[in-house]
This record gives sequence, structure tokens and C-alpha cells, in this order.
Amino acid sequence: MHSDETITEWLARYILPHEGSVRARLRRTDMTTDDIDDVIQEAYARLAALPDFKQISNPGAYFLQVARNIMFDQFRRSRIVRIESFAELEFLNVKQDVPDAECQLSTRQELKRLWNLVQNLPNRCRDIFIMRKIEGLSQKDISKRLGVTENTVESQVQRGLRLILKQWATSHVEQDTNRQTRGPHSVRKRQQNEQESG
Amino acid sequence: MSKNRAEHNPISAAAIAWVARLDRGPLNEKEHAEFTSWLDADIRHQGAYYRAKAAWQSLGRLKISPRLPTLPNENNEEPDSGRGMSRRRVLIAAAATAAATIVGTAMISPRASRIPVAKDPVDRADQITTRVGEVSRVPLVDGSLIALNTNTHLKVLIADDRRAIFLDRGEAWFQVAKDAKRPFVVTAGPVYVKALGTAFAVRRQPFGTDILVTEGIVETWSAEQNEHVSRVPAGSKIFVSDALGPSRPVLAPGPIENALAWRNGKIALDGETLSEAAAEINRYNVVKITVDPRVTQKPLIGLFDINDPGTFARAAAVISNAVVVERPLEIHISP
Repeated sequence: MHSDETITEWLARYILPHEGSVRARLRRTDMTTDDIDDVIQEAYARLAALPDFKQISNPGAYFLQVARNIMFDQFRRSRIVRIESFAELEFLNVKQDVPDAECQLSTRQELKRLWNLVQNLPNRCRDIFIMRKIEGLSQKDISKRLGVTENTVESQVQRGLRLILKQWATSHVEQDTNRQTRGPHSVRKRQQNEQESG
Repeated sequence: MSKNRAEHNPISAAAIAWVARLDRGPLNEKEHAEFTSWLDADIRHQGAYYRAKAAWQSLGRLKISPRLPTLPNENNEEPDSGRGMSRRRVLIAAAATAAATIVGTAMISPRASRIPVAKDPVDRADQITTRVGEVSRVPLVDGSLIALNTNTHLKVLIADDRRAIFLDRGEAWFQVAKDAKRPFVVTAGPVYVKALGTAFAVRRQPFGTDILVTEGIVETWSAEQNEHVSRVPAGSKIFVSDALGPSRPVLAPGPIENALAWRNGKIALDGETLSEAAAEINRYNVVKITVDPRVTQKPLIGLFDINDPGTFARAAAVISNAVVVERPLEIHISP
């Protein structure tokens, strides 16, 4: 088995950025948001258990493939199958428009994206994230510096992480590369428009 | 829309809480036991935990180059952004094309059905035919309306004292204009169906006729057994045997609109097996779906386009863990 840190790093760098695209693809079926959450969570668990994740050349496509397999497993297990879920199969065809290596962001773009995630947090949350992640203070040190309880710091960490994960879940690799500076809202809006017109 | 969609998920929220807690400091014994039992309880817990942990850990990379956010200049990025957009456009265009293929070509307006309406009402006597896969809607001169399903042939006779339809083959749905002086009678083989201010569907079968009543009441009998007349109320269906006359009417299963979904170019599956669904779709297409008997049969539900057997077959194959083999005029689903 590999160490936990390595796999988490791999997930952070090569899987998380594709989550928005994979979710968007799953939404083309008639799965509910809850169903999609289930699939995504199980996909992370399966990916985290991969013994040779470093061999995977196209993690975005692989992520989609894993999600797709989980989805199909679920459908196969269910007694009755809603066939519309499969009518949009073409969208789940991994060969089509995969977030592939070509889309992989440069290190610079990746870091810029992470920085934007932090910048877009509410002020207090952002300050705590900067102290914790950039200055390297512990939660305890932060609570002392800000004169608040450790519980407050911990709950701000939770809050910020929730917002950041929401960003990962709703944004697309291709879009965020360049558009994060315009704020996350425009990204979300555009996705909605596409869903309505698609 | 749902602004906080993703992270309202309770499993995700719990995972985030654990990541934040673990970042604060080591767990005590009780917390540790709680954490491990939570993790072990469900594979989704493990996945959500890895996901939250990855998001948290990824921010650690900012520490390596805290000065990084000298933002790359926008001009350098524009070409990139253009390419990104066109990529998306291609995807959207592909989606639109696929949707158009599924919906069909003759969409008239969002509300109207896509079934073309004949320009001139059918006059006194006429013959109407639909080919395999064709569905047609024909107004009659008396104000009634006929929707013909796939592969159907019928004759219309509108006289001063009667309105007679002869259904030689296939299936049709009738919406009958009220006219007490001119009874509206559909004849399918020896089976008669008389409308009493009504909408109903008639389908000719090899040894009899199926009738489904959507409004009002019909009376039906067989000429070969004509002492027995059955009255069938709305929401019911009945099979009238050529030789034995009407069976007992039964309530139509599911919403009655399902059985008539063909009028909108759809079939409604409501628990049919793969083979049954394939047989239904085959009524509308020259290319026939065949199913290997070894393929798992599982009840299917949902609305499906009648003219798209390929997509149906591929979807069905995935569900049944089977493969699709395309042959001339045949789409075979094999294990």
C-alpha cells in the first residue's frame, strides 16, 4: 500500500480539478444531485484504493470512467431501470471530449487557481486560511493571534473547506483556467445557461 | 438554483468536519474510535473523507510559493480562453445535434406535437396509410381527428347518416366530434366499435382487436358473435376476439396517456422487459432489435423515442451488461 499522503496529493492535483466536469457529465443523465454525490464519493474511495495510481496517464478520463462504472453498477443492481438515464450515454462516452492531458493546467495555473479559491472566501475565513496554509500557523496559534477560541478557528476551517469544495464541484477545468478572476459566480451562471440550452 | 448544492450533502459535511478536526490536533481515544467507525460504516464516507482531505491538502502547495499570485497577464491568456470556449461550443453543438436526433426532425412548436397534420381535412371517402415508423394525425371533415400509429391502413367513409372507419391494419386513436345523427363506428375485421361522444384507440391484432377508451364510452361487438355487446368506459381497455366477441373490460394499467405516447413519437415503458420493449420499438422501425435469450431481462421504465432503436439498444445493452452487434437491418443484443 502507498502512503496516505501520496494518494491524497494525487487526488488533490489530478482528480479534484476534474470533479466539476465529471459532475456536469453525470447531470446529463436523469440522476438526482443526491445520486451524483453518492457516485462521486464512491469514486473517490475507489480511486484512493488504487494500488498503482501513478500509472494512470489521463486521470480526468479515468475519474469519469470510474464514476460511470459506479453509476452502471447501481443501475444494474436496481430492480427497475429508468431507461432515459442511458439515453444520454453518448455524453458519458469517455472518448468524447475528455478532460485530457492537453487540458492539464500548468503548475502556475494550478497555483493561481488555488490562490483564487482562497481569495474568494469570506474575509475572516480567508485570513484564517492564509495563516494556516501560507504562513503555516497551527489552529491553536491562529486562535491566540486572533483572540478567538480554537473551536471558532476549527469551524472557520470547516466553513472555508465547504465553500472550496463547492467550487471544485461546480467549476470546469477549461473555464477556470482563465476565468476565475471574474469571480466564481459567472462560472456558475454560465453552467446553468448551458444546462438549460443543452 | 441550488447555490450550496454540493456541500449540503450530509456525508460531505461530516467528512469536512473530520478534516477540520484532525487539522486542529490529534484525536483523543474516544474521537478516534468515533472516526474509524464512521469511516468504516460506508464506502461513501471514505470517499468523502479523501475528497475533503485532498481539497484541504491541495492548499498546502500555496506555501511553497507564497508570492505566486503575480497574476499572469490577461493578454497571454486570451488565446487559451478562446480555445476553451470553442471546445465547449463543440460539446454544446454535439449535445444539440444529439438532442435533435433524439427528438426528431419535425418539431413544430414546443407545445404542438411533432406529428404533421394533413393540410386538407379528409373528405367523404378516403384511404389513409402510414409506413413503418410513421405516425400521422388526420382531421376529418366532420371535425373528428384520427391519429394513425405506425404501419396502419384505414378507410374513411363519411356519409349523411353515418361515419364509418375501416381499420384494415395497425392502430389508430380517434377523437370523435359529437353528432347524434351520424354514429361513428370503427370496424376492425369483424369487430365493431361504436363511439358515444368519445376518444378511443383501436389496434388490430391477428385474431381480434384491442380497444382503449380515453374519454366517454364505446360500445363494441364482433360480427361473428353479435349478440354480446360490451360497453367500455373511459380509462378501460378491452380485447374483442373476432370469434368470441368482447372479453371483460379491464382498467388500463398506468396513466392512459402512456399507452398513447406514440402520438407524440414516444413509447412509454412501464415495467416491460427488454424483449417486450424491443418488440414495441420494432413496430416503428425497419431496423429490428433482436435480443439473445441469454440476456438478462429486467423491467424498464421511462419514455423513449420510437424512431431511435440504436440508442435504445445501446442503453439496454449497458443495463443488461450485454453488447450490441449491428447487422444489416438488425440490431442484435447479445450477452
